[in-house]
Amino acid sequence: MDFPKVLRPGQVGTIRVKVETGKSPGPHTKSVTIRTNDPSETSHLVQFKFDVKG
Amino acid sequence: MKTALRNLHWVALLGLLLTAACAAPESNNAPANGNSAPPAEAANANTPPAQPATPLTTIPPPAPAPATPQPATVQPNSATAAKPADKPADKPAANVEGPKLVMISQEKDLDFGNQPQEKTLMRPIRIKNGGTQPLNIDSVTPS
Repeated sequence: MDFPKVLRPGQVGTIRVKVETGKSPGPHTKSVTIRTNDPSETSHLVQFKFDVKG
Repeated sequence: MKTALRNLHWVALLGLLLTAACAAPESNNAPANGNSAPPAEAANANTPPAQPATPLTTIPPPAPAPATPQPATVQPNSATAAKPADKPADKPAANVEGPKLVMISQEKDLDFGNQPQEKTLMRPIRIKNGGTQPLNIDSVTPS
């Protein structure tokens, strides 16, 4: 995972997520947890969806 | 004797006619006399004073008018009560003290669609610090 360590107020950043599709065909859902010092939400779950064609 | 009776009869008839004529003139005077209209107008003039009595009826509306201000005062209270309720709700949302993680990427951006087997996908997630303090990203881990 490639992500910025700190974002200033108002700053926009990009987190590059790497996902392996695997061998099993069909719909898949994978998630990534982002942990920050945001007091209202210390961990944020991001889900990815993809469908592997066999 | 017969003539005396006839005379009495005629006198009685005349008396009846006179009484009828005396009774009739009151009803006939009104249409007959053009002056009768003015008295009627005078009567109407008296009726307008009766209309001023209607202003007395307008007096009651002032009573309901104060009644309407009362609900109006209630509405402002409710409106003012609602506004302060909205303002505090908006203030925390608008002014976020400290760091705030905001996702810019939409859900559609996180749907990779159809993919082949055994492929490595690299996708960017765009985030923003919507707070007033620096946002520290401690870790990004797959789960």
